Amino acid sequence: MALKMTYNVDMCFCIDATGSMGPVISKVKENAISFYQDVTREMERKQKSLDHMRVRVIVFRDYVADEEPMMVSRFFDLPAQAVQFEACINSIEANGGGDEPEDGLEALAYAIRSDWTKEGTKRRNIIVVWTDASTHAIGYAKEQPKYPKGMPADFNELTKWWGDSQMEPYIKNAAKRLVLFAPDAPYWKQITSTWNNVIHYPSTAGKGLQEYTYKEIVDAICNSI
Amino acid sequence: MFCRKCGAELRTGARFCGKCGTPAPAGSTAGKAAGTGTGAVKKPEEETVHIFSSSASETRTDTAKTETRKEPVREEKSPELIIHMPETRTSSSNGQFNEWFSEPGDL
Repeated sequence: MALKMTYNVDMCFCIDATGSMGPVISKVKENAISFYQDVTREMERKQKSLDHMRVRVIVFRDYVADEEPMMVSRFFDLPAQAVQFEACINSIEANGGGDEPEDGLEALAYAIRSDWTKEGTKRRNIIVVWTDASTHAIGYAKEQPKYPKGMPADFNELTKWWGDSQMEPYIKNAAKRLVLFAPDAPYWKQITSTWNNVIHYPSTAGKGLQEYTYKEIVDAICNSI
Repeated sequence: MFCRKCGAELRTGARFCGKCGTPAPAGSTAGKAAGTGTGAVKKPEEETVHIFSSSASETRTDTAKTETRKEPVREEKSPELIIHMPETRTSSSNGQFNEWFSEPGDL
């Protein structure tokens, strides 16, 4: 009998919540309550099991155009806090955004700096970015009043935050995974080609990730574990 | 004036784009409260809908008032003039979002 691997999984969803993302946000809302079961079932098929799972959400838009350009939740333990997680997801509304690029790299920076679990021997720290837009360069909006201090100054510094096999300042190299549902656009392309542990599922700009079904999204996340 | 989000043409006096709901820039409305001009509808208490006739420039002089139109506008106007006040974004729904989410602060 094959041994099952047991994982402690933390997930951080970075969700572009500008207007065009309505379709995929609706999809996520419909399935939020069953997300844990869906992931567990898929993991079982792969002879893996979850010892512990937590999920948090970062909602991002545009620091220049939006009143709430970056909002973050705490981690929810699943399945114990599935109802709260569902309420959290259901409170998200797709609106706003100014120009086409959004501030996805700042969301990614916050995600990297999540308070990742330190428990368990087989850990997975998975960041899932969902956007149908390109991204501004990091720091593009640094003059805006809500822009935080401590952000990476440029893409190179953000790359250092992600780390590699030699350097892991904020997220363990063996544990980290980045699942990118994003257009094939600048910075997303660089991330795919230069960062390790990245899986890119290209999305069509402005189409709200309609090309992916919920099952495909769950499969993609589970494939990264 | 055009919507900065989706590019649709904004009616004179529109506070929101009729296609995507993005708040119109402050200059496109007369008498709009000093606001954010951003994607978030921050004043759900403003339930009165100000309808400005595109041909009645004189209404701009009464921008502080709620104009009651005598004719049944809704039957005559195209959907673009129905101002998109996303009813779901009441203070309670904003409150729900703010119950789960917060600004992250400095790193």
